[in-house]
Amino acid sequence: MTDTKLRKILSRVDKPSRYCGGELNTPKMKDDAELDFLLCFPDIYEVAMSNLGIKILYGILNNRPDTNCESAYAPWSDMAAVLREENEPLFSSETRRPMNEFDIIGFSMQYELSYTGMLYMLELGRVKLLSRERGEGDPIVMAGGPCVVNPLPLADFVDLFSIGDGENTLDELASLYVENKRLGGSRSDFLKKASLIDGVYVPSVGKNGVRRAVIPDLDSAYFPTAAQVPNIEAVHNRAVLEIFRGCTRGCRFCQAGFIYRPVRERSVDTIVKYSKELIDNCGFDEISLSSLSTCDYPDLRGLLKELKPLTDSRRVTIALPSTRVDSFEAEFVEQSRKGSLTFAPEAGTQRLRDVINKNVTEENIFTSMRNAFGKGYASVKLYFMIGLPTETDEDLLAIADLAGRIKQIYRECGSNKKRLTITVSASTFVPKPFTPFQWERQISREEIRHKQELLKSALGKIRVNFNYHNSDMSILEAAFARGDERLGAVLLSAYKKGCVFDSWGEFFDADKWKSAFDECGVSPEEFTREYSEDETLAWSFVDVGVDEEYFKKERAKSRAGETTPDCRGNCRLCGLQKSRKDAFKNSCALHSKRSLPGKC
Amino acid sequence: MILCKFTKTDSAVYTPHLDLLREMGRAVRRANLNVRFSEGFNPHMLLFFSQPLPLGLASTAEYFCADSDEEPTAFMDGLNVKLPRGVRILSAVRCEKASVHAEITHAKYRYKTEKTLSNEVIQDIMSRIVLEIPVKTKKGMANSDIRSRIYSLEKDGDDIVAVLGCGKENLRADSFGNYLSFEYALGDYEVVKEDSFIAKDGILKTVDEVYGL
Repeated sequence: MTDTKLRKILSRVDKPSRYCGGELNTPKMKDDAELDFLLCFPDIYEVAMSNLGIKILYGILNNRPDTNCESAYAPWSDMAAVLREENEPLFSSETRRPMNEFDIIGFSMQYELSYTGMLYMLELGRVKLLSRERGEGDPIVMAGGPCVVNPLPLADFVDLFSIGDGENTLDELASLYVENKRLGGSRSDFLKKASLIDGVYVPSVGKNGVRRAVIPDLDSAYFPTAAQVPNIEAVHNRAVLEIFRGCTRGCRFCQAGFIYRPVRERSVDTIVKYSKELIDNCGFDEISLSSLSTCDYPDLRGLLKELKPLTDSRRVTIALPSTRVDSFEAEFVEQSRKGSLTFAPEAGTQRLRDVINKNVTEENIFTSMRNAFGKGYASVKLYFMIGLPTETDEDLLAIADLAGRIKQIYRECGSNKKRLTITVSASTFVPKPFTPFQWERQISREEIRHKQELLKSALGKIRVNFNYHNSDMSILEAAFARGDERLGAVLLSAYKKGCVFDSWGEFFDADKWKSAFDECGVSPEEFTREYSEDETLAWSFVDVGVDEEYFKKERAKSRAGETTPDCRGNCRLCGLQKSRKDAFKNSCALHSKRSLPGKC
Repeated sequence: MILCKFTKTDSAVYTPHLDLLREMGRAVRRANLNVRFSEGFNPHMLLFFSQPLPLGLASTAEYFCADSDEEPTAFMDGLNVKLPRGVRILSAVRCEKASVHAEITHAKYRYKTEKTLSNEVIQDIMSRIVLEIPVKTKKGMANSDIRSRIYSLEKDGDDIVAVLGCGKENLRADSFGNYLSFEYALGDYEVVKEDSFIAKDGILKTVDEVYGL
């Protein structure tokens, strides 16, 4: 595309810097690359630019001497309209090449409601939507990210899935592509050979031997300390440093807690080194020490002690997402800005927290609150789920009690003149594949509404803000999370009816989705029902590393109200000790105090 | 205090003002240069910018002041290796005040149009006492008399060069450009801000002349 044409297009859209490229730290594209890869994110620039996964893969691919990796994100509706009017295809940010001229197009699928975004981008990029219609000369469309542990709903559109950690898989795929091209191999030759790479599922080849890829060690893994700095403010306007991957807590509803196992950590030295590089290369005023549960980093205190002199001298604040604020961390956060305090008890009663294995007690919460209020916090956000297995109205009303007790504690602390703001957010439980709750039913639309109303009135009485999710969106999320190949047709039909940006409230159209399901003779209830433990689960052909038997055991324990402690101290033998020996040796085996079976 | 003159060209023309401010602050941090911070609840880096450039407009004469004791040339060189495409510091000098941008009264813009404007039209425009054109206001488009905000209008080859009011008596270069383009069928145009002026006793001097940049 010429400069004049681009200028003409950009003069007509909101936030043109989403599309013009030129971000700081954009690598120079090579003239002699043998693989042109387009990394895509099926949501807008501000969301995409906050995603760490695509930054890692972008860096890995561009570091290869034979590969150029460019990027494209879902254009906002105004840009899509202008592209259509001007008869221009969706193009890459870096060299403004049309999407359909790339060899491989990779999508990062982070949430189910972004699925239509993929079709939207492919269509704007003039790539055939259906995998079976693509042939020699057409780009290879691939997808990765947490959603694709159940790849089936996307299998009609995707030629190749990368399941699990993408670091090694993408590198191997790039090598294979170049080699196949040099040998004059065909598109289907490439796909056949690719299916043998760890972590790859090629629907046209078959479901045999599909495994989640696991990198054995994070400390030596590539990390992008010179990632692109967005042109405009992204959703998360900060540097993100992944301090470990995986989580040892084993909350039974949490997919991330199982599909990123085992926990793999970066060392204090590595984290400090990367922090310095991030400041020198990106310059954000905040570094987020990211993980699924940052307070579980074994030597958080030591890490912060090492990191503070550096960040203080460069006027950078450290953010600790997903933490419990115990006394030490309260001391630490004291120096930084007092925003709001976030907690995720997930359920209102101890009974239900035991069912879901969220090992947080009321006393944990209240102690942290006392600490935080003493330090001047006056705003609390609490996250809960509704529709959890075995939940009753009592469990819900306990949420309001908990909020009331927090108010009481605030009054007792008395040091603060500001009025306390409490916000309760309740999402609807979505049963996810590869969790102990993968068989559970999702509550019906009517039940969701009843529970939301109940909470709304209980919380309204004590003047606590209440946020909740659109019930139709939660049902759709459940259907796509546990769906099978039949959902491909539904997705296509909904997209053709105009569904796109479904996670954006103003775009979500429940009626269109309903008619898409009807048209395809599929009912969302088929995927929100309780599954039998005897049936073969559609996604069970993917080996994520944790045994199905382990999930069954955990589910039985949940029904008995029994908890499973954090596996950092004692290995719970979830299956990784057999299925991912290398990674297990590097991580779990080092932490476990219990002697492990001879084989490992 | 250091006064810097910088460009906003290439893809940076699409960077909104607030994001440009953030980016300059990040560049200072990347370059590990010392700039003072404000005191108080939310300390921020003490950088002071000239008024926002309309989105899409290029400039080779933007200014900001940084509250810093660094040596100005070293400050400029340090920043220049850490700035994104299109943003370049052209010169830097020590200065006493942070409010240089508030003194700017006029700016010179170069319009490159598909069709050029005749000298007669220029004379006609300049001879008018009132010139009402549609301009963007907070409430949408409204007609406004902008004649007093056109200081000069000339041709340079095929380009149109205009010195327009800036600051208190502001005339948006894009509003004026859209008017010329529509009224005289000049087609698409590109516009670059080339200079900023400070009026003293009715005489325009460039910021560079006044502050020795």
